[in-house]
Amino acid sequence: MIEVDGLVKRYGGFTALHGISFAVRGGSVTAFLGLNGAGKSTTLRVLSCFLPPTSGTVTVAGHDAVRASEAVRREIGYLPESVPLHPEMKVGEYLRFRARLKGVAATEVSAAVSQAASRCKVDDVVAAPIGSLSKGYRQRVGIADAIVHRPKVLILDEPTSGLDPAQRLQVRALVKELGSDRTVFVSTHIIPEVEATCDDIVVIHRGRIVASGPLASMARGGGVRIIFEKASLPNADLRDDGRSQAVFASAELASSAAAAVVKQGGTLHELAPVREGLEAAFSRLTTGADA
Amino acid sequence: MISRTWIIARRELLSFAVGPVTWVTMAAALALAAWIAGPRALAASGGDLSGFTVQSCGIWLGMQMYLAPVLSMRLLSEERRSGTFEALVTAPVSDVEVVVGKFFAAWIVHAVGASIVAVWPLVGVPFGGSPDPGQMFSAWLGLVGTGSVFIAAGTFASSLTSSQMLAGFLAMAFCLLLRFLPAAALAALTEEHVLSRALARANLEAQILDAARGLVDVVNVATQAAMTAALLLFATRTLESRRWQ
Repeated sequence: MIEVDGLVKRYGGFTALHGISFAVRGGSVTAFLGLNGAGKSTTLRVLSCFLPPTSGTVTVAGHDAVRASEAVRREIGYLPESVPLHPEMKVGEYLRFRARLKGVAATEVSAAVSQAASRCKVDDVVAAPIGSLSKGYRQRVGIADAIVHRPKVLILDEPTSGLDPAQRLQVRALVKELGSDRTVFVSTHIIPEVEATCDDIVVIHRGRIVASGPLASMARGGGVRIIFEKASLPNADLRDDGRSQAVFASAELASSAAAAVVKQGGTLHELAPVREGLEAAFSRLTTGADA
Repeated sequence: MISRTWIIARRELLSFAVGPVTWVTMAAALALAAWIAGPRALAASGGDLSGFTVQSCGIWLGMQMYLAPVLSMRLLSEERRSGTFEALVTAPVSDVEVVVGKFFAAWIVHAVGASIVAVWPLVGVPFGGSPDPGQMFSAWLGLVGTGSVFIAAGTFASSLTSSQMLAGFLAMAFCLLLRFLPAAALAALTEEHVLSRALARANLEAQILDAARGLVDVVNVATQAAMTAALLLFATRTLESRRWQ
């Protein structure tokens, strides 16, 4: 649904994106994970046609983001990080304005607004001025705006940023629910959010993609660990329970080490792959170890 | 395209309607114009409503120097400052539609004031005056025409910065240049100079005086339309410049 190939974005002499490439599957909720300043917002601004790429191609829902910018903008719903809204307008008034602007037929505007407001649980404040709403409500109004024209692709830039834990849970549940009938590409740097809502993940670090794929595959790959006692191996660590442990990059290396332990007359307690959590994987990817 | 332009204009009109600045500025401009070209001037005119119309239009031209910047300074700068610009231009609308829609809203608000000034001579009826509808129409055409040039200049100024205040100062500077530069340059040139004719045509003060006297000059209207279009094109190009970065 989204294909990015060799995307470069420069601001003057500064290169924000170094030829990144990735794809987002149709119908998936994909997290775009990266530290602050990694290039997430710049990428999303290119995907939403706010900024043009310096080079490379971006295709959204089959349309080229440069040559068919308006077609792309018709197919996407985009929520910028700052959640820009007009505080002087009432929620319903604002959503009607946005629906008309995005090409919803005049006869269908009321139904589209009502559906978006209900889905984002802002139907109880449609008559309230936006300026009087809490941050959580404003965030959901922003998402309602993004889906009011029923786009195929939803692009959300840090939708839970600045929310309290309860509001964060509400928005997280909403994003997951919206992913049931469209492609959602959501940028974040909050790991539990990714684990709770996403199918796939793309990790960006210093303007380069350092990992991408299904979430399940990302939370593995920590090597193979053996736990033993009454033997010694180079690089083994002593645990609190008096046993030793060592982690190896491959199963073959771990098997050889286990054989050495047995040969020394030691006791082998465990030989198993290490299930590295997403947080650890993200930390490894963004500290340059594998980047 | 017209539909989306109108949708943008309508939202902007709503913003004008709820903001006190519009009404306070408009009321102040009209009150000042009425004070200058009011019953005293009417009495002094000796019932000559033709001269009274010329005087009213001249005063309103001066008012436009201040009114147009106030109405237009926030059009694009405020969207950029508040971040709503990103949401606006990532909707399926073109930069031209954004610029024209916003300009149109400010133009409509200005046209309300210009219309009141155009029918100003009706206050002379109880004093035995007889206003000329043709002259009132041509005065209105001249007022909304020069107003459109000034508001387009303000729209262009607003596209240059995210600071409303700076946009306001720039707009006022542009309006002053548009009003006084052609006449000043014309005075410095010989009649035979290649630019003299163009500058004479671009003289907004001369245009408003023609209109106030009852002269509907198609060339004047075309000149105002061309100046407006050129300034709106500059504003559009400025918005598009984000794509060149």
